[in-house]
Amino acid sequence: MAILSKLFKPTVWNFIALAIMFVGLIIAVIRFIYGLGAVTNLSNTYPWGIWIAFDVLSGVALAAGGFIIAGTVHIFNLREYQPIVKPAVLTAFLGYFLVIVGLIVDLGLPWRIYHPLIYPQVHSAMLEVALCVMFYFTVLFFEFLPNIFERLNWKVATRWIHMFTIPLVIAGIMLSCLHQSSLGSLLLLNKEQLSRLWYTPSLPFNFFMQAVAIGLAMVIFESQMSSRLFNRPPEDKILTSISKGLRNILFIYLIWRVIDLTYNGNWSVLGNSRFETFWFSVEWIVGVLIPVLLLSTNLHKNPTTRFWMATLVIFGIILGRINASLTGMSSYFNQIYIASWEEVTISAAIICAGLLLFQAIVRNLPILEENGDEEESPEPAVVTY
Amino acid sequence: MDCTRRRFIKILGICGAAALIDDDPLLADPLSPSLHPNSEFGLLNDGTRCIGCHSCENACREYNNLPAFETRPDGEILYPTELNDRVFTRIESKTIPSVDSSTGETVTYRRHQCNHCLHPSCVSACPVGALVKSPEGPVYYRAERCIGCRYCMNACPFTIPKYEWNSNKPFIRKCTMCSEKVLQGEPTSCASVCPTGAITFGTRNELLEEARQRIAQDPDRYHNHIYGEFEVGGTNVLYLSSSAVPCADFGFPMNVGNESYPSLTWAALSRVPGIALYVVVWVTFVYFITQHRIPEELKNRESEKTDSDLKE
Repeated sequence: MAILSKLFKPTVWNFIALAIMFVGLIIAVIRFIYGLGAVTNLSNTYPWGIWIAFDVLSGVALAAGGFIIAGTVHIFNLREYQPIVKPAVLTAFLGYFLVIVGLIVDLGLPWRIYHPLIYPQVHSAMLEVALCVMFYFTVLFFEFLPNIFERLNWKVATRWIHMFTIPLVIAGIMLSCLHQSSLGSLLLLNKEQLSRLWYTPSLPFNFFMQAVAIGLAMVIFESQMSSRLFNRPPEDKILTSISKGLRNILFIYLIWRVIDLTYNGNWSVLGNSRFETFWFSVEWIVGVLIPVLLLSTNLHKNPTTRFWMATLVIFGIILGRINASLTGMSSYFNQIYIASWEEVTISAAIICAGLLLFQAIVRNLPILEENGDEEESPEPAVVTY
Repeated sequence: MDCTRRRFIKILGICGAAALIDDDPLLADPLSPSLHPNSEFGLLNDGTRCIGCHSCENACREYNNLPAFETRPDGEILYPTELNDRVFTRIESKTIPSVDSSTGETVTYRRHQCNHCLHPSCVSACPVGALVKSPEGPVYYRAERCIGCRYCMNACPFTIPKYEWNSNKPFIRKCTMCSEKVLQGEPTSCASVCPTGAITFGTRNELLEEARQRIAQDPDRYHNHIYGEFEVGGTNVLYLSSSAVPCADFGFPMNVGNESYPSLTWAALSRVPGIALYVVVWVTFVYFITQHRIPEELKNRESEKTDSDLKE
């Protein structure tokens, strides 16, 4: 019981998460017995649904904070960001793990997931995606490993693995740059299907910028959530400067997209389809314009507004990915895809698994540094339950 | 440092070696110009000759061991209204007012099937080379490689690859231009049963010549466009349509352009090794620059700290 109580804190929210995961597991079993058609609204018109648009395209972007913060601290040597490196790397590691879980549910023949390694076809953007997932997940695993070694007090192993920190961080930055942009390359083949509001030859670059923005937003979101969950002083100073960075990258992204749409003469398709125009507007007004404006004021110093702005950015960019892979094709196919409740439940179950794993790891490994050691030893609040 | 470089070279090596690993002679490079322009086979579907007898649909179903079509209680066969994992070709009909208004109305037909592009989007999309463009023309499928990512379905400008949604071991299904037959120079099942010569099998060059002749001989009857001659960089299956219902009215995608689809992603993918190298060099450079920027006292303090940690 002692071990269990360190892994799982019995709060109402955590029990709800467990329940969702349980339902998700049942749906996954049905999916593996009767096929994708039994639980999804996927069709020959929409072969990809929210498991790709949300779990994979957005999940990978949410993990971008890992390489940005690791690069900031280890490469640019800005040591003041040190306290958030480990949480950011953990978020990335869990994010990629859950992307792989999502892929296993979505792939038709997941037991062949290693095939891209033995039958590579280099003209495929999907091959770049697959190899980057595999290699970067490996890199993230090694970036995460020191936490386990430190916890187990394996001194030699810890010293040994720290020698590889810099090469790992460099490899991680390189793989992330490739991976984030390759998700945009995937959609380059949808030249005809995808509305010009999203389709542009610069999709790979757009996806990279989106990833940097959502990665930073996720660092703010995750750090402030952790502070509340684990009763720690918030990293206010660090998060204030990160929110400035978030505002800058969002502003650059905004300007770039305006130039991009104007240069390709694509503003004319605005209004062609009310459905697409509506979701395009929501993506831009709620996810980009409002956060840019409010983060430019003094509100970014206020933890509450900063948190909500980060949440809006996360929402906006996830919506952007769903738009670029699903919504933007509705007028071409004259058909709308709406996820089935089973698809939504599986996605929700994957998020819940992420939240529970994050809590369990933070409670047991030295992730949140500084006062981490003090609180670890006297068996914190968990015991009172 | 060495580790990164080695890792990087390894990735480059994997990408480079990929072209060599795949020594299957049937896997044509989706970007290369057609390997055997004169021995590359195709089909010419002439909509003006089709009488809608559905022989091709039945022949296709039998050759590919697909399930029988549904029938109404009175025995009338319900021919499919869409392509799916059990239907690789179908005939669509359209009723239009007759030209000489005496007979009322006439029916025109169009055939749906895989177009077997010269530079197929699906082949370039597949990460594991499960879809193959053979030098003889057919785009066929190696089921044993497929991982079920369905990117081919997403990538096809004609929405041709279909999925076995209700199977727990699902595969991609589509017209393979009877590749086993065609690789031996035999005509496809559909072409060999067509009673009116609406489906002609031959090399692509012969078919283009034939199509041009038909249009020239009867310019009133034909819409002056060979669909597939230039679309998406050219396809092995070509279509002629009647002047009354030109291909645009029959739902042929007209905005696909003449550029080959694989070049769309290749524009980005060909830059990947360069970008990877650039990022690694740049990041390494920044790392060495910023190392010198650490104040000495901080450096000492840190090294002392780690030393004492390790001594404990």
